[in-house]
Amino acid sequence: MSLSINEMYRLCGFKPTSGNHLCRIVFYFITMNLCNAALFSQIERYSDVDITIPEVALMDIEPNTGSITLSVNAPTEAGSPPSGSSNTSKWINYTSAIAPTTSSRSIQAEISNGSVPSGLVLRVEPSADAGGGGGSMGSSAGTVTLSGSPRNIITGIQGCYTGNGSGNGHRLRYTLRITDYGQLNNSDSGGTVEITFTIIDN
Amino acid sequence: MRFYSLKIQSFFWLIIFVTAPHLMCQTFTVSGNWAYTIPSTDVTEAGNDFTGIYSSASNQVTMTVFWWFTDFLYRVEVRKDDVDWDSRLQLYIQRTGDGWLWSGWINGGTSYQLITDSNQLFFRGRRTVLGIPIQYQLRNVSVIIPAKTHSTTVVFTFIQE
Repeated sequence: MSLSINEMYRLCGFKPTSGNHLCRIVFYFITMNLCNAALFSQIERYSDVDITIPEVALMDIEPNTGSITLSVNAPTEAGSPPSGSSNTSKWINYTSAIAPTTSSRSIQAEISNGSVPSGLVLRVEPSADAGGGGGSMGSSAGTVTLSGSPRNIITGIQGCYTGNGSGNGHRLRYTLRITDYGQLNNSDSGGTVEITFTIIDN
Repeated sequence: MRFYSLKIQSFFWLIIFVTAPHLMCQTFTVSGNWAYTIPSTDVTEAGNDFTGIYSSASNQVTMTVFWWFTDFLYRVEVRKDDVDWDSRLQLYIQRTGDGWLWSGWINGGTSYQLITDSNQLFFRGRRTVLGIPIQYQLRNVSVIIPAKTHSTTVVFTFIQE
């Protein structure tokens, strides 16, 4: 405050010399208090809030119980070729929380154990997302022939969740296709192939 | 000796005169921030989203209004100034207690309200109340929102009425 005590006295109609010392102090406090009240009638204070959303990359196959069986079917008519088979009982679900520094994620599949019998190939084709979740789902890479090297089956996954369980996410169509009838061998029956799916950052 | 005594006395009164009114008048303080990481373990199954609602401690922030001499009414308004904040995240606030009602009272703000970018009434009060506990709540958290740190500043505005 730039006002002296005597000036404040005069403004309030008092004589500068009036009052004893204690009265002056009390007067000063009250006056300053009122001035402060006028000056600081609006005050801002701050509190910071920082929320970190972590990266998440989770994927599984539903239902996750049991394997599927594919076989070569014998023809019912003489002269007709044997045929492969397919299975659509499995679904792939995933959750992806992605950092802005990552462009997208993909899901890859590979044969990690066992081998497909001679004369046959194993293919997988994810469907489009069933729409049970939210966000930017990935796109199916179409029909992919599985091998010992990982191959993209779903690409362009952003922040999203497909929903959990059968009927959510992408339905997987496995197909056993005959590529060389001459190499078909009945002794190959019963072979087990293990397929590994991996969700990766691009 | 008398000369020095007078000088010391004058200096003493000078300090008192300059500082005391400010110290004794009004104080509006807010202490506490909230830094929180959403647990990634909240997504328990592939295909699921985060649970979506997260709350701070009930006394994450404490607020004090201290006023000495005069009787007065006031209100506290709240808004947020975003630093880097996704608009889909919703930050709520509530007052979880009265604090120490030394010579006053407060009213309102005891249920969650959404903090927006413009000032809105949080609660009203009268005279001195110490240590008002305040809680934040975050809603609409989703994996759809970019995985990074989202920052905002909550601004409390004390307004004398």
